Amino acid sequence: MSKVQDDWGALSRLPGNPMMWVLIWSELVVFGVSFIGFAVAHVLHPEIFISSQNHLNRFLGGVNTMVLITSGLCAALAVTARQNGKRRLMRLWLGAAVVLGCVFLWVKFLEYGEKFSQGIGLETNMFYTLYFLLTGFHAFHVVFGIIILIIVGWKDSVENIEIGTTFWHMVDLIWIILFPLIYLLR
Amino acid sequence: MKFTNPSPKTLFFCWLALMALTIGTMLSGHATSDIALSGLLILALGLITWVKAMVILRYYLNLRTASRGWNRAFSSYLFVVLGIIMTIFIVGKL
Repeated sequence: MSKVQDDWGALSRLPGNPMMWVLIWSELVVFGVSFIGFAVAHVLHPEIFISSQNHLNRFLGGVNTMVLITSGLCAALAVTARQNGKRRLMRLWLGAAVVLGCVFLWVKFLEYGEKFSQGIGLETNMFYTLYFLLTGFHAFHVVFGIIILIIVGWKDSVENIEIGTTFWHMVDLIWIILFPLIYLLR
Repeated sequence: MKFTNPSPKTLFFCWLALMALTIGTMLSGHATSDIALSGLLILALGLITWVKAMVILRYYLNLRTASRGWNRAFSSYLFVVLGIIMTIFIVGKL
């Protein structure tokens, strides 16, 4: 994140593309409100939430967190490689980030599949409505992030790589909060 | 302002810290059992999550090179959101 922005006011004091930081703030506010709503619903209906939450695979959720964190490292290393002019290495790191993103989605797919096979869906109860909406909305971000990483790996200017990886780290950041909230807090 | 990226070595150590903190999250949240969490464990979960979010912001997203105001804005916002969530869970246990 090396580019100095010229006329974005206070946003010029942030690294990378200012519009990406506007997006990050927007996402943090939207998800922040949703997270607080989830916590309130949990406390108002503890029996439904705790009994449903106990059917989630908490360990697998933790493993998926590690997968996304490692993917974030690969994305950050891709930026450094590109800034040093090592395009081949940058593509390798970006490729690793994409593969790990796909692993994350695969685990989510397995989780959803297990729930659907048990007859559990979006309308089962309030917990599962919020679980599918929040994790599903996040999973859409992961899919979108993977597409962005592939595009910036192809159109690989330093700025493009920075923008793409910034989005990827934001997806990582949201999951860091989503995981303990949905899987662990009770 | 000059925005210098963290070195690969720094990024690697951040990754190690994040992995260790994730294990801390799983242990605090009793990820392999269904037992209820005490208020203290809920508080620990909130603090670990805040530290992890700050590591991602400051190093992966390089926020540490931004102005002090932006750093305070992000850390305060996350602290407040996580604080509200943890308070709701702790109060819900009373």
